[in-house]
Amino acid sequence: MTPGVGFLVVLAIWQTIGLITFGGKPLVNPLFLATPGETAMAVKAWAASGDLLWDATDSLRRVGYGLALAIAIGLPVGVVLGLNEGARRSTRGVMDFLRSIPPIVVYPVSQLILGPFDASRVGVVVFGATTVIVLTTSEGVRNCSKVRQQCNRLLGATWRHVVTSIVLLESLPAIVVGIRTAVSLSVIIVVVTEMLVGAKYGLGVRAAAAQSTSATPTLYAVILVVGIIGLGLNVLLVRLERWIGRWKFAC
Amino acid sequence: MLRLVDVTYSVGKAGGLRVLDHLSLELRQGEILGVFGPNGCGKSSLLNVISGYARADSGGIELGVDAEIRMSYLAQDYAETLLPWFRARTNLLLPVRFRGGSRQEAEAALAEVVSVFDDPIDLRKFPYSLSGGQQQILALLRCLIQQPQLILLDEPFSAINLHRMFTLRQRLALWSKQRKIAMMIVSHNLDDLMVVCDHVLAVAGPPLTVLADVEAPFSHPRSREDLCSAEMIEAKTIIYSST
Repeated sequence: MTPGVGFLVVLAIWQTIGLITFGGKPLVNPLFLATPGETAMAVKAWAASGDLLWDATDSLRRVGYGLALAIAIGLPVGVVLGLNEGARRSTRGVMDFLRSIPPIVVYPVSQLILGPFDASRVGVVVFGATTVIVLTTSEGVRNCSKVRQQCNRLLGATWRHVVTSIVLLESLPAIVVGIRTAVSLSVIIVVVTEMLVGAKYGLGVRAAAAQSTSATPTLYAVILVVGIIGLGLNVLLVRLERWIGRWKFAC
Repeated sequence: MLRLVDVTYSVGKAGGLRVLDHLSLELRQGEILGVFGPNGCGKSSLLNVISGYARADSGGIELGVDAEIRMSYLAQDYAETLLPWFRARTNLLLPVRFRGGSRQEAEAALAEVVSVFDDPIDLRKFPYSLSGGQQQILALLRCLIQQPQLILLDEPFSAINLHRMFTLRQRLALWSKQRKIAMMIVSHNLDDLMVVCDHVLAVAGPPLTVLADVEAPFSHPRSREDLCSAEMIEAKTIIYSST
């Protein structure tokens, strides 16, 4: 059994639902559900117009900027909190509070400060993704072997060595899990903020436009493409994790 | 070199099990001290406290005449102290890397250790794919490469096969004697200690109490015959009968 089988089953169910009719009327109103064929045609038309490329790259650029900033801020903060139990304990309440805020809620504030364009979207991504990365990184670092750190300190490891040669590598699985969660969250944030106002291109822009013109196949096409992009990013990160952690599998 | 004065240490929070109770101990430069005792008597805690991994409740630990002495610690869970993401060679040379030593320094250090401990470990492998015994030797050699003045060894031969262990014990003793490195070895295998150490403390606990302090006969390196000699058996008998 390959992963493809699952996709085929879902595709078959999707197609079947579209085909079922009751007394000449389709089971599901075509306004609500496009068939796989219609969706594929919509994707094709979308791609042919050139918009798909722009939509995808613009969305991914926003995700990328936001994520890069979130990692740049969250990783060092997470490492410091993970190594320093006092700092971790005294910031835990704040971190939990910040994580409890749905990131989209800060979008208006972000717009107020950063303006109506991409900066405000990236700002929301940074807000949402940083807390996730700080949390997973600090937990990963905190769970690192203390014996390993102490023995290597005796062997002469400085604070810098402990971080770069030991702690970061040991907590890498946790960090990658955090980044994977942050990627999914960032895609959600970017698509939602694009649906709201201001962008010319973007996957969310396309979805909102399709909905307002009742272009159901395009709507499903956007869902399909966002799903494929999310899946692709996830596969890339899993590959990256395996590559960095290759010492685990080497013999 | 190392002096413990009235050291007290308890496991856990206040009112926990008292493992060290006003323990005093002294170790001179180049001296090899063995600590022999049953499981759970506080031997490993003693090394943890000396290494700084655990903090004593009270008492003083004086290290060296000058403030700076290098100490290395082969912990009981030696495999956990290796860095599994680096190959065996990189692991072995970590002390050189940590002190910012050059490539030549690393090569020299490696050559010195390998010339003495010519064990067939494939240094290109990752620690994961080495056997338990090889990992233990690797961790031990890594301690030696640091060129410390004091080495704390917790069950250093526990995973090493009998045949290899004998030469390893002899060479470790010689290494220490030639370089005047003090060693403190904790074990529940008396033969380990009788081959390597100058004298052996028989202990019980907790709290860790010294029952006897017995000199090991013969000069280094001690042979298999030495280990079976009447003098050695007499020394071992004193230790066994005191516990």
